[in-house]
Amino acid sequence: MSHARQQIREAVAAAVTGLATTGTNVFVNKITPQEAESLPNLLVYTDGESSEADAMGASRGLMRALDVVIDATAEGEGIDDTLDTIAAEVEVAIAGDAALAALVKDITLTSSAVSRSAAGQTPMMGLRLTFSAQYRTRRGVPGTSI
Amino acid sequence: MAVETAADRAAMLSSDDWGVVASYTPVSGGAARDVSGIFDAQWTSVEVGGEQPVSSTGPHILVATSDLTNGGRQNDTFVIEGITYKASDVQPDGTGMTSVMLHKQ
Repeated sequence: MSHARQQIREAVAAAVTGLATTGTNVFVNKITPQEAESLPNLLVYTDGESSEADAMGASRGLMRALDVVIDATAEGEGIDDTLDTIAAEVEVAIAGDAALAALVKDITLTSSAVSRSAAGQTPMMGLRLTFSAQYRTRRGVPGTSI
Repeated sequence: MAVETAADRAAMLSSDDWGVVASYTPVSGGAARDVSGIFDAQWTSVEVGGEQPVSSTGPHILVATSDLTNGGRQNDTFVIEGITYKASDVQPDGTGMTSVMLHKQ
């Protein structure tokens, strides 16, 4: 069984695939540069995770807080508006996805960071949305979110 | 003192060699006119704050500064080989040549 972290990452990617602005331009754990032809797009990663024992004895629970990062990138005129539209679509999709909700106790947007560049063939902007996904497993059973 | 003369610059930019003819319209107004320049659109990596950069190109044209109205301004328009660009940055070299960074429209 895959780690619950992977299940969450895959559920997030599924939730944000097919949105009005970015469509199927969704890439998970991308380690190569973005193609300009794929813009606007979303890159989905899971980043650091903190965990803490929340029960002793037989239940041996482990409460985890996973950073889920979604990088949105767009180009052209009006990209501020485009990225805000993408952010709205992503936030709604994450909040309303039943499969994701079944894996996490809660998932909350914790930061939004914007970057701009004029270095390419068009103006480009990036928006990094970081979510904190709270989920719980039993210690030693990382594949099952409880 | 500039190393090149106006004739040197014209020869370097000639479409008989490396140059192209671009249709140039200054943002300050006026009719489009042809200018000669050396166009390039080499690959560049664009950092946009995310995990991965964007693989893009950095189109620019090198022209004689004297061919540009007011030495060139942002949002001047160039049509090069059928593609319309707007100047995103104007970078004079101080000796009579200017590199104009371009954005595709």
